[in-house]
Amino acid sequence: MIRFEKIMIVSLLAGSLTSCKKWLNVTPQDKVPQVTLFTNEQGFKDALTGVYLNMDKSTSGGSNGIYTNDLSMGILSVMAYNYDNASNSAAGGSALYNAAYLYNYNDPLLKPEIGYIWSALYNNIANVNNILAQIDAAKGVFTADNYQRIKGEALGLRALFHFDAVRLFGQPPLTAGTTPAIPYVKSFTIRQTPLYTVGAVLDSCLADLAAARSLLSLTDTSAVLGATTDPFTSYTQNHLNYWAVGGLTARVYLYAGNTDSASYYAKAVIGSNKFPLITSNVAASTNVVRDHTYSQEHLFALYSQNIGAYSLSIFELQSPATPLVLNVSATGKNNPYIVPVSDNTDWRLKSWFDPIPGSTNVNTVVPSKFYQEANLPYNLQGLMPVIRVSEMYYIAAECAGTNGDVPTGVNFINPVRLARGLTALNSAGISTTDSLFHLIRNEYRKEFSQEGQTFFYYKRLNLNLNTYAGTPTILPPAVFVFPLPDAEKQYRGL
Amino acid sequence: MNAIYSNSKIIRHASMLALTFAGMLVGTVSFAQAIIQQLSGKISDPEGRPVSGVVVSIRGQATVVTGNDGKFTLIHVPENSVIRISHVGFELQEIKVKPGQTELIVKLARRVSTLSEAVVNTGLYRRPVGNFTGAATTMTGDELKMVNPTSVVKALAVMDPSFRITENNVMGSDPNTLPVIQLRGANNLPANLQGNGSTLAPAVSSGDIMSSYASNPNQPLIIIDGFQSTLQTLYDLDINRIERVTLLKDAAAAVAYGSKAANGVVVVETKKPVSGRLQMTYSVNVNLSVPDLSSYHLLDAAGLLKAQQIAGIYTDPNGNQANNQALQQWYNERLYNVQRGVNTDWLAQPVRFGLGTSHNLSMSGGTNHVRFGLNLSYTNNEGVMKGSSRNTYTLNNYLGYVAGRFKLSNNTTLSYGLSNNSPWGAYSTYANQFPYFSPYDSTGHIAKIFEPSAAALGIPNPAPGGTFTNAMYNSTLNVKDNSSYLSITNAVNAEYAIFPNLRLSGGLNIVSQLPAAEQYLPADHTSFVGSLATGVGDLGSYTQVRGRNAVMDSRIGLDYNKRFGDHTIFVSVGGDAQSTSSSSTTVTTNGIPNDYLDEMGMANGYNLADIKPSEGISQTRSLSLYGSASYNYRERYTAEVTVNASGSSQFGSNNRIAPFFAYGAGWNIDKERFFQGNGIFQQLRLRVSYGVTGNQNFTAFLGQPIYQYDMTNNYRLQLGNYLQGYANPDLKWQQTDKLNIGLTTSLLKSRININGNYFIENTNNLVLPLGIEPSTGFSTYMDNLGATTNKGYEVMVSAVVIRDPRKNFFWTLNFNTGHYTNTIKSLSPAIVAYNNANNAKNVDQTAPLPLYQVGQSMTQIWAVPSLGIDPATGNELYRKLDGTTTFVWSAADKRPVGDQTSKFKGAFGSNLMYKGFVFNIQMSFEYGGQMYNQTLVNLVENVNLLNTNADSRVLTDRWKQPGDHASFKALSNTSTTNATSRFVQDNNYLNASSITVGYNFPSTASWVRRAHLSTPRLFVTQNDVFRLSTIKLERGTGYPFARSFSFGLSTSF
Repeated sequence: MIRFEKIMIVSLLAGSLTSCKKWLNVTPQDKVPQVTLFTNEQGFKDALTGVYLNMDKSTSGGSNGIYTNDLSMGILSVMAYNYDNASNSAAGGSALYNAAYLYNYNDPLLKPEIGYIWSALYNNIANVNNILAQIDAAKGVFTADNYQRIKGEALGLRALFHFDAVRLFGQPPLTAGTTPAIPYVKSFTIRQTPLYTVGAVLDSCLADLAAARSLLSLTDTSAVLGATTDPFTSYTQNHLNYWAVGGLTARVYLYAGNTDSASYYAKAVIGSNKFPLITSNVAASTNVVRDHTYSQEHLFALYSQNIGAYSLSIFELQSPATPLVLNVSATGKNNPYIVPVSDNTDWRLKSWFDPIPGSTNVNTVVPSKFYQEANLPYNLQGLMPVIRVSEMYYIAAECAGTNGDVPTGVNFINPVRLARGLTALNSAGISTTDSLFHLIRNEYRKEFSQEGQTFFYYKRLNLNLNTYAGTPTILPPAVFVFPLPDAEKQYRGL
Repeated sequence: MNAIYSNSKIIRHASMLALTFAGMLVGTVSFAQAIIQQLSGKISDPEGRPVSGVVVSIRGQATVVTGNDGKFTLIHVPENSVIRISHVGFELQEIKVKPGQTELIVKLARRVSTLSEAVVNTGLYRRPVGNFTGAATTMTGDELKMVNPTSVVKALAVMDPSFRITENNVMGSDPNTLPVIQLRGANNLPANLQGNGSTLAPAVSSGDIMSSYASNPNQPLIIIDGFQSTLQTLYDLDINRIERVTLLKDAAAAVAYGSKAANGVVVVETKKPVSGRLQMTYSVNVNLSVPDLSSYHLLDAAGLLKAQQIAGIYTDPNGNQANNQALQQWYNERLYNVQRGVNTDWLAQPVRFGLGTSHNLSMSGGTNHVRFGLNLSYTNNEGVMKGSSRNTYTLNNYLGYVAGRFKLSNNTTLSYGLSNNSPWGAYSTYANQFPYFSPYDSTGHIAKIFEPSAAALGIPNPAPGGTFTNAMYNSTLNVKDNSSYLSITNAVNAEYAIFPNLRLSGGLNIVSQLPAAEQYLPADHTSFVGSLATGVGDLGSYTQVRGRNAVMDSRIGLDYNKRFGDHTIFVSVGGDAQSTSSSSTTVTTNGIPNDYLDEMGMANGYNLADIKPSEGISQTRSLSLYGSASYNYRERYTAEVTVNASGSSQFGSNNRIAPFFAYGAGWNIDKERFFQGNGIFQQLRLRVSYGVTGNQNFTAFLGQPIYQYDMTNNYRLQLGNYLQGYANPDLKWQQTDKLNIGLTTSLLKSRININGNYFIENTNNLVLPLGIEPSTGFSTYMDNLGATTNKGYEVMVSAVVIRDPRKNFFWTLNFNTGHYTNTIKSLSPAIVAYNNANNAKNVDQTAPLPLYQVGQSMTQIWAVPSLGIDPATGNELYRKLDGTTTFVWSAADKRPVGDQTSKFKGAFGSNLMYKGFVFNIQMSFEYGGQMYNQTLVNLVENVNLLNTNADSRVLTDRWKQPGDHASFKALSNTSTTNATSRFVQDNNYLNASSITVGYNFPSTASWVRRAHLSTPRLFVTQNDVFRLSTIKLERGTGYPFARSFSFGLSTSF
């Protein structure tokens, strides 16, 4: 009897001690603790979706969307001289673009915005890393090919963010050398990650991309899907899918100067025939269904409900009264749209820009690529292309040119020209690599207007902006390198 | 537990045996005695007046209670038995009944209440003052009521110098704004620096336990009847229900509360029914609030127009002739108003005399076994703004049961509170209004828009300042703006005396509260003027907040005391487990076209800007175990040790249980032989205590990784979530080390009592953000980084000038003062970045921004030193950090120029009682603090005369021409005045906090007897009667301050 009582007491005491600790574990209800979130597949899906959402308006600050504004139609396009009046336009409601136009990195508006871009990229990396840190232990909770999908996309996104960080904050690849550039963060940790050289970052990107590609190759790649019954696998092009990872690999290889591999991956994407070039001028159809961004050509496009608002804040005619505009006259900086004269039928000019109503100046046009018409079909709404199939043609052409094969290069340009309402060029007329490269440069300037890739193109080749983009002043050589945020330098002791 | 139980069983058997034996013995003895059939008697006080409610008992047998006439009757009284006569406030008497005695007349001796007999109640355990080494102040409900019959919180601030209310210059005497309180100063940086606030739901009627503490991290813990409660509950508590309040200040007193003790503890005990005849007490209090507008000195109509003209409102800055002409037309239009005598006293429009009443009816009674109490109270507190009020209804039901060594009680409180905010809007709207506008239109109705449109007047340009709307118009509409709560509290307490000196007690407290708020602005409301163009969908709005808070609190305790020889021991051990949860949902709808459709469902939809329902949920759990032992040797030396282990869900997962401790020692010098016979000191007692306490007033979930859903955006119809930040699994409680040295003495035949304490409190491990490199993904990380020190002392003196019980004449003077200094010892780098950000702002620092620097106080005012207004130019001259002078203001030149914390805060007063008359006056004061005279800057220099009225000093004291030695810049100088030492002023004041005149009617008066009343009392209290201050500050900008007069009457029957 006494022994029984003793056992009871001991077990009660022991039980109450352990339950004590358990009792103090409280889980909030409007937020989800990590331990709960990653117990099912939906948790992983939501965490990944969160990363895509954060590529737009980041929770770590910033006045604009990151991929949907700053790195596309906003700062980067201003810096690539896509607009002619950025020096004095009040677009965006502030003097941000005036400073970006002058590459004034110490400007009180531009400096914090660059800090936000950095924070947002690395905040996303942290989110991705946490998914990657948790996913293998929870492999059992996944159905179908979702494990490969989520892990593959997460790895691909980690590469994408680091690649864009190094393209912004690192030296141009031609001058990078062994200068430390940015950290390549592979684990979810509060500990400092050392700075990698540009080359090392690119190598890490390629490693992540290779892993991503092999995982995603195990997913269902039979078709590029639109809306289906499963929201997670719908809209293939809005995820960093198998082909997008391939396209990104080509882009990274080209940035690293490996033309053979770049060409290989670019051709592989083209050869998949999943992303056919458009065949008719979208500007000819009614506004309601005007597919401004040629959505069938997107390898990966970000979806955001806010794109229309960003577009209005920069390009709206009513307020601000001076939106960012293009001057497409023969003497304007954006003249490739009409020079040579044979090229002035370019569908891109017709479908991406609108004349200023009531203005007699036919040469000054306002971008409308991201304008969201009231009745735009859902599948065409809120798209910001991140990788286009046309870039794959340009990469293949540039690689061929670099290897001295100019005719092959021209042959890769021509399909895009035809899909833009232009005539095919006779490869006999383009004899030198220089003239091929001139052609490609003009294509980048026209094709990626307001998408930011033109800036990266200039930086990759370390081009003199004064010569090639028509900047008003000669800019110093380090102009392409975004400064690290003060906080980053401070805590690293730089 | 079980071990104790089995032990006690054996002892119980033994004691029962002993009892039986003793009973047999008594039985034998009594058998030999004769019985007195009836013994009647009368009990009176030393002055010969009958005393009611005296417990008269034959030991171990019958008990009776005297009536109003002081008489009692006992039957069957054994001869030679001992009659025991006890009553609160009188010495216990035991009288042996002589054989044959049938009458017993007893005059009781008044008990001289010395401190050593008092008991300190820490809320967890009680201990005689002699065995207690902590710093605590105890005040009875009656003492508090004497100072302020309507507000416990305000009364406490007068009674104890360490209890401070931060004056709210914006919300003034708004009955619906809770005060911000501190005990012995602030240990913590403001909540916004600690990651608080944003993640919590808005404090709905402030009823939620968690958010009420998180929003003020310096708030002391509030314990009502043994369980944690909220400031709102204390604020709404009827002062008539309060038995006593104890403030626990140092570690020895408070450490049993562990991680919640760092800010001190306010322990409130409510009145418990006493056994005896059914007793009813009724008290009524009529409270008149009178707006105190004496601090306002605004321009009149003519003065304002003149000032506007000088400021250049009616001339075009670019000299455009056409514009000048139009502006002149507007000037004439307004001048016409002035000339025809329009001079509206806007300040007087929205205010009134608030007439509030409170009623309290309590019934109590019972036998020795069962006691019950019922308390009904209703308070209607009318604010001085028209339409603002706070009504509270409380029903409290107490049922107690005593059976031998077992006691059980259940206490249920049901309360409802309704706060109405004034439909008239913010008071500042009226202070800003131009006096040359009449609130009425030509037909005598309240106008909505003051001036006819430019088109109607035929003036080409719109009026300077735009369209002016009349906020008074809203009072004619069906505006709703209120918040309310319904709360049910049930506390069950049980106590079992295992031995007479070993007591086991336990309790369970359940609180459920339903807070709600609604705001309805009809379409015609002036806030919608001008939004007609944006579409009818936005006109009229209705916001509803619904919440649900719950607290469950259980505790258990074991108390033991023993005296053997010269040794006395007190031991208490116990534990407390608490779980809180709160949630609230806010929904706003828009587009309600008609004034009377004041329901959410009548709305057209949501706002055009995507406003969606919002929700806040918070949940915490905590666990606390304590043990306290005190040892006393020959009533001279006391040693006390208290330990606590606290666990909380708010701590990081690696630090769930926190240990706390305190040691204390006391020396009763007066009991020493060498001291005895000393004619001066009757008591001299020295106390020293040191201990470590904790504070957990921070956001619930910093210790574990949390994902938050993005509810505003979707990704192709999917919702996404993202990490909130790095969790800190090592996050700890904030820790405050407290040292207290106290001296208590009474001298000159106990006529003068002095109680003093000196304290040093070092707070470490303040939860602050630590900056980390953004490449980790986040910019900050919450960690235990900061440290602060508070040092200070407090002295309370009371002196009995006259003590003449025979003439019933008492006169006591009291004085208290407290002083403390606060110093920041260390900060996180992120705070330095916060400072730098504030310093870098070169534009518009119209108010001094807070800067936190190691070595400075948290309440330091930072501004650029000013050399005054240059008589030659009328511009302000500043002194730069390097000593040179400049006309250019720069944030980098800011220096500490004053401290908002006063050097001394205190009160003094006098309490006179003669016969039944009572006269009490209490003055409170603060000395040695500074304040940035924000309203003066706002109304004199940074005033925008285009659309607001200004202080009259705009015309009189501003620089006008070279050679003027003015205190303010030229009126034509429109540059913004940034934080400058010119507006830092000494904030010394003397406030007549309360004057009370009362009369206790003698219970012998014939009308009192006829009305069957027992102790009728009439009181008149005047609060905040006058205020002498060194700073001329416009006080109460959002809501006026008030003076209040209370008339109270209470009686028992």
